Amino acid sequence: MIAAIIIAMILFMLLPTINLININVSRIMERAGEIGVRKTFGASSWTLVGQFIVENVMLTLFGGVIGFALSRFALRFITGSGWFPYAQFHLNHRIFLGGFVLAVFFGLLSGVYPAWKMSRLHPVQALKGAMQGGVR
Amino acid sequence: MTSQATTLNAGANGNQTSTANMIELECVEKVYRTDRIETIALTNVNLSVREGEFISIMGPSGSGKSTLLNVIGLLDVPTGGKVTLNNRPVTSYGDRHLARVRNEHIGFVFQTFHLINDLSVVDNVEIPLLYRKSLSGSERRKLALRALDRVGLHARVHHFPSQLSGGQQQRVAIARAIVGNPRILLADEPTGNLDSQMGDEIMEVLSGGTRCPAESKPTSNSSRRGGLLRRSALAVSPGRVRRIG
Repeated sequence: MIAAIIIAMILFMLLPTINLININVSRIMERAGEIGVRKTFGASSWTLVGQFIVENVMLTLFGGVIGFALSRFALRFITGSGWFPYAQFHLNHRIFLGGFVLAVFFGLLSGVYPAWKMSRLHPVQALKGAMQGGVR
Repeated sequence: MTSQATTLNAGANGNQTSTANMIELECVEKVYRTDRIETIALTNVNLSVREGEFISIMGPSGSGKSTLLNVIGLLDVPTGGKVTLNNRPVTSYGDRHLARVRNEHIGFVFQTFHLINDLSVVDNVEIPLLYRKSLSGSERRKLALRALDRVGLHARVHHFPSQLSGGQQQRVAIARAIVGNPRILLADEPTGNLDSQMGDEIMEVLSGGTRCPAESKPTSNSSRRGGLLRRSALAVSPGRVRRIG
């Protein structure tokens, strides 16, 4: 039973991860000009990869914080609903820590591929892309 | 059709001696290859640029001016030949090393400005300094404000690029190019998107007028006005480069 719940949870987490990867890839195309400018003025590919991954992990952590806040209300609602007689659901440190680690893990997972794609962007091509779409 | 398109200012930080070669290109070639087409952009280019030179690069559209500038600016890797900047053979450098040389030694000004619209003017100017770990936030801000002051934009530091005219945006781009005190300033058609009056202003700023962007040290202003910049010109006809003055 617990294994099934864990698998279901991982699948639930994978869906937004894949979604975030897609969004990140299109964001990189939108930000091609900025990437070109930063590379031109001295950012190495690895510096930009680091910046992008940190941005992404911050984003997922922010999502995680909102998730924890909402789960507090959800657990209070479930406990009060009487669906599970005598059951008391609370957030505890272990779950909080586990959720935090998962948010970081999925943040890294969804940032690595787009960041790798970004690192391969040639500065001249990136600037040309910006000329067509404007630097954002 | 011949157009003055591109400028190259070596020894841009004003510490130049007039004899040393700042930029050397030996037998440089650049060929763009796709599955079906091979386009030769530069053929057997040999070029030496001394410190303190201000070079205009002229040639018809598609003749390779921008490619030449991209190769000198380490934005593009030549398919053959050797590039030496400030006595460093940079052709064999890796990405991280090239990025550091670009950051410390080269400033770029583009035709379309390439400012980041989401950042304020002063934040745009700070970009090259973000990649210098030795500088603190307050030092970065101080240098950026000084660069903006030098191009006459001290009253627009918190504006966003979209709130500025084309000429002002290009001044911001020049401030960004000089803020890190580079020894080489590359400008690719810096006046191409401006009317003639603004274009003249920008060229004056670039070539060392009263608000000379190339000056990093106010003390060297007088020597710059005294004519240390040696002006010359290059003609680029498809793929080939020759000095014409």
